[in-house]
Amino acid sequence: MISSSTQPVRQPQNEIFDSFYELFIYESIEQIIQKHKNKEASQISSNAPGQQSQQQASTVQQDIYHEIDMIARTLGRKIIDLLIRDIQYKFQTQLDTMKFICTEFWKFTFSKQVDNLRTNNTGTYIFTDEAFKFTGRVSNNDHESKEYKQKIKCYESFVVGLIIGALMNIGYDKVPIVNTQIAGTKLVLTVNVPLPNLS
Amino acid sequence: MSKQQSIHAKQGENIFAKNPKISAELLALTYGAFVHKLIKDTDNAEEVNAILDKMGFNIGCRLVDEFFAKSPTQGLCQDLSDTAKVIAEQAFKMFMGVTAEIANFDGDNKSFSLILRENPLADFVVLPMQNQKLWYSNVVCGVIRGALDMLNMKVNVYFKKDVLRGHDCSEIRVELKEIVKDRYEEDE
Repeated sequence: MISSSTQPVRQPQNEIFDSFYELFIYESIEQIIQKHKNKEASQISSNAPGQQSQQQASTVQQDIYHEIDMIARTLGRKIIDLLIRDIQYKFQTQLDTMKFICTEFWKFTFSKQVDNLRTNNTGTYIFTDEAFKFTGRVSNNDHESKEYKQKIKCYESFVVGLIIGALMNIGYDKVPIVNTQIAGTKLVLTVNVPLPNLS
Repeated sequence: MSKQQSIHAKQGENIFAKNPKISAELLALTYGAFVHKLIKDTDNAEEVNAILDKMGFNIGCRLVDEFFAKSPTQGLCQDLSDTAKVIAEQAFKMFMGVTAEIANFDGDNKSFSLILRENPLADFVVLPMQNQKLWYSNVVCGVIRGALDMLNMKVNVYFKKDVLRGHDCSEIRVELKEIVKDRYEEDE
């Protein structure tokens, strides 16, 4: 477990219910998906129908994930800007940085702390969050279906984008490799920080 | 002080104290990142307004359930001024963290204005010159429209003034078009 050390707590300012925020995220992702679907439909009608539809569908999905990822990176960068304006925190080691992400950043963004942080001390960190609430509003009769998996993937790219944006703003010049898996309400996030260039 | 507060405002604050919350700045940042992306994509402020309004409508349809789940004592509103008070003092406090003022009721009680002295969505925003046609917080209009739509009220909601455009306050105009009557048809 993460020990809550004696960092100064950020004073809560203007607070709101989380439901509006969650719904907003849900709607914006929905909107992005819709936009790409429309674009695809107009392209298909202009081209000869029935050709390369499989391949096209997968590139559309990639576009959706990429767009969500980019929005989330911007957001992660801005959140870090806001947080380190108010909090006195010393980023001495890599572990400190990761702890900051686990506690302050996670608390600000998802209103709770990460449940578990593990590391192998060579640049790999595994975050576990047992109650990730963003996906609570996504439901489907069949959790194995393709649509459901695609939708969950959208949320995964959102979280990945957030963490990458945050880490890059803290000062990693190389983009860390972040992977995440969401199953139900459990989220497992793996961060691989590339070793610094010593030359 | 407490005597002057209306019953709605008091209720709003009671409910507010009980439930889990997030910082409004997070909402502001997320909203900003998304609107920024929309503008870059479409490059047409009017289109962005329409998209935001439609998104708001979808949010509002669900948010009204959330509202009634969190304030179970809320009964039926007697008339439009009652509705206005609940929106301004309870709903805005719950979901935006600020309260709105009600003003400019017209003669036959069909429309009113909500005045926002501070707008948490627009905390860190400066509207660039080429996007002067954008109503930045247009999602709020959609939310009000969607929420009232679920309560059988067809309304027209639009921004009249916005601080970002240099006005002294943000004004949202709500116009009631009609109240749809529930119709029940008998089964066989």
